[in-house]
Amino acid sequence: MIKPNQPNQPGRPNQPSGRLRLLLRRAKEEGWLLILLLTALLCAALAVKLLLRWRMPAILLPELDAPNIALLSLSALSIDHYAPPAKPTKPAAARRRLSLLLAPLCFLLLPWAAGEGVAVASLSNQATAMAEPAGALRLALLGGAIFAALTLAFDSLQSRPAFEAMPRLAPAVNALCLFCAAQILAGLL
Amino acid sequence: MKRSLTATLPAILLAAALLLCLRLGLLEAMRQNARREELAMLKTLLPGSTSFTAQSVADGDETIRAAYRGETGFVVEACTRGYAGDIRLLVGVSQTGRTTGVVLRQMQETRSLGRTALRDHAFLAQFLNTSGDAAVGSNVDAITGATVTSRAIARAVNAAVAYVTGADTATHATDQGD
Repeated sequence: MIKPNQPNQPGRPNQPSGRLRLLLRRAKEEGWLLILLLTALLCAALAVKLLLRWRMPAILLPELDAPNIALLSLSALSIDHYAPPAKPTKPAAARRRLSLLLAPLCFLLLPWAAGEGVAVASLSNQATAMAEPAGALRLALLGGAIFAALTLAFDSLQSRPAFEAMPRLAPAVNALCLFCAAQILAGLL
Repeated sequence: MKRSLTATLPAILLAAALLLCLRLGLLEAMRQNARREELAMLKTLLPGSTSFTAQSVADGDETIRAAYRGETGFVVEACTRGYAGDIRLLVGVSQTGRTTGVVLRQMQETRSLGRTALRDHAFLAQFLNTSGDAAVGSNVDAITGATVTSRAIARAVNAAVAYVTGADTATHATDQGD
């Protein structure tokens, strides 16, 4: 057991970085790090967008469309992969189940709260109108589906033995390839 | 599963609450800033006009979404289908039916292809002084690799001019008969 007055040493749990590593490791072991990362990234992106909309209302900001949802999802998956290694307590499918279940809720609540999916009539309306329920629901379903598809594709690619030779580079390359594929698919649709 | 849910669900709710508070806190300031920017944009698109009044738009016309009348003409908000989604733009049209300004307001086109129209001033400048006759391949050069986007923008600009002049874009006839 670690005593509170024990001197700080690198990597010790009573050091802030040590505590963070411990928390990340536990989250990864139990399979809820991915959904936390997705929530944090989506929240940060929407907060930045709100602040930009406040300071510079005429600026054209990216929509939360399929390629951008893919970008956020792949960023969360990559960070999850690069997070401290952990001994999973559950099989891969069971660890991902919670993230896949909660992702639509995440894409429903956060964009709705930030006013995404508003039918734009003018600059003034864009800033202040609330998202329509149908638009918010559509975004939730789209976000959940894209996140689920990319999670399955990313995990499948990562589990290929060919990528074991380059463990540091593979997640980034896979994420980049999947993002390009998502953008092309969105364009075709 | 239950323990994981108790760890993640509050985080999602907290993030949503934070965003909602941020949005509600900035609401009034956002509204004021947006109105100021909108007026500045309309004045730039329609030189010589200082005040604008919103006009009612016919429900049947899906291309024209809003129109603002100024002293020297109109600013029309048009929307057409591009390559990857709707493209919305504001078009300034003088009382003589000439385009005085074009600005793109929303698009989901492919990055580094259609989306370059947002900052391609040379492309957008081609629409200035057109009178509903903008046509890609004729008097408008398309953006390389984004012909569909270029055509959609030309279509929206022509529709905006037609809204002001009362022209029928199919036959090029006008309400005034000229």
